[in-house]
Amino acid sequence: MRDISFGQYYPVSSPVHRLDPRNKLILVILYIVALFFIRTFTGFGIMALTLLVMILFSRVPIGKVLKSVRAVIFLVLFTMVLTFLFYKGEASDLIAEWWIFHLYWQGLISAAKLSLRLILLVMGPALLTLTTTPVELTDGLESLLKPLALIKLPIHELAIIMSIALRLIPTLIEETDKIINAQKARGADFESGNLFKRAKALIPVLIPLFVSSFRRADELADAMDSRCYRGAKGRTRMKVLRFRLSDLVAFLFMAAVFFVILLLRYDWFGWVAMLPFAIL
Amino acid sequence: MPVKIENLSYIYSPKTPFEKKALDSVSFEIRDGDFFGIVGHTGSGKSTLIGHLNALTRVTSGTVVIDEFDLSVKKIDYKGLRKRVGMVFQYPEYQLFDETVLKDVMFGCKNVGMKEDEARASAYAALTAVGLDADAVAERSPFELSGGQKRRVAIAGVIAMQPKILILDEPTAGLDPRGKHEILELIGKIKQTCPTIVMISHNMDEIARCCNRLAVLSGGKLLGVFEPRELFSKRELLEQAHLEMPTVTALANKLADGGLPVRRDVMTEEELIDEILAAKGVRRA
Repeated sequence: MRDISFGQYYPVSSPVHRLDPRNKLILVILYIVALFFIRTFTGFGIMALTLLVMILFSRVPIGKVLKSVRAVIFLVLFTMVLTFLFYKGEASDLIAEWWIFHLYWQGLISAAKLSLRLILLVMGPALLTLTTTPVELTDGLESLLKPLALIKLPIHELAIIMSIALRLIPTLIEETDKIINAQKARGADFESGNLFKRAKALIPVLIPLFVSSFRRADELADAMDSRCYRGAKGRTRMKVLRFRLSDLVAFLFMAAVFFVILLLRYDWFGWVAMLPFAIL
Repeated sequence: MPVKIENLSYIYSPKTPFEKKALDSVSFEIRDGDFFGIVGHTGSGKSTLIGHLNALTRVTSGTVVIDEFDLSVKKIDYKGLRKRVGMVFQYPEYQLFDETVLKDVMFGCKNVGMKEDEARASAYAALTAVGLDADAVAERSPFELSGGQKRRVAIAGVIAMQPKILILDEPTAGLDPRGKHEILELIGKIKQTCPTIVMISHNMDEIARCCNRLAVLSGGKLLGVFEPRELFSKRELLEQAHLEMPTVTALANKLADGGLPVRRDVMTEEELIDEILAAKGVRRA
């Protein structure tokens, strides 16, 4: 339990960690959109390289980022196998067939591309959460969504709800740990028995947890009231988000990658066609 | 020799940036009938240490043996152990959950395999032992009791399991002076049926009053096991472990520093009064 109490965040100091969270959010959006424009292995190669550069700059061990793929590995394998099995291609392309399954070269390629896209899709945002604290993320989101306040969306309130929720996750995990230990010390058994029995064993944990959550919420509300909290109006920030030179560099880098990806796809100026080799 | 700890070490979140050595080759013994105190600054490893004593934290390095239970082996009889070693956590009132006080107190008894009527009898006895009117509170919801009553019910929930060793983590934390006093009296009474008691406390007055032996922890290391009088006369050690003296001892030291010939290791008000009177050459009335 203890291991997840800090979320994914990997606490080192790096140029990527220090980027403006708003900028990082935009970069990740650009990255994701770009992934969907890619049709070629070259394109995926460029994106993988881009990601690698960012990982190297972030000083997060590459294994930590790869770990995020574990969560979707089953999905990746599943879609890969299905795509390969049920791809309908041309007869000349056929590798093997058996019963209702026809295996085509094109199917294999398409399955590989699909998995590449999924894997890269997971790793980009993973790097974001590894290098950005949840609080920075909500701050960034709040700032990016500010224009929606014009149509009367309570952006600040939503952001503060999110920050409080995120802030309380480790606290609640710690609390859960303590209660579980207290009940274990009274001989409670959470590990054996069938599903129904195990669910029932959780009651002595859940009830105290709810009770203390409500108590905590009450106390927090009182504490906010007594410090005259009254929502967004007139509030300033302790940590002002700043768009710095490094942000500009990172943004231009990503924009360039994005442009190359679009160019590979649409080839507006006929440059790609002029290359002496074919793009896979 | 009920509790024997040897070379116990423990590391939180090993091989991550959050890695923290909480215990560093700690070895000591707790004897039968001890009122054993564990003292140390915040983060010195006290809670991690007692977590090992009923296998909530498993031994990863070193050995812990409690009577016939060897906690360093992989498979242990958890229920048997937890019946033998009762554990009262900090703010135990937050563990209450059941509809009635009686059911809540019986929870532990039933978990360790007592029969319904046996558990009920034990729960009533425990409620009485913690100074509550068992008949009056048994059928009430634990959530409608006062803070002090809740804590007593929670303690009853542990002693109803009839442990032979009782571990208490800051049992008086967050109570008013009177509440503290009452809980300590109650622990003194519990000691008649549960002969070995281990208590963590930040309050040196309580430690001086209750304990006969003390383990001093600092930064995960054991600085030694002492009798209270012995410990509170070691100024350097106290400073090293960031501990204070009991109020009376501190006062005696101030008087001695100021030139009054009194002993520095007094532990009770009575002793101090005798010392002062003797120093002044007044015979006690």
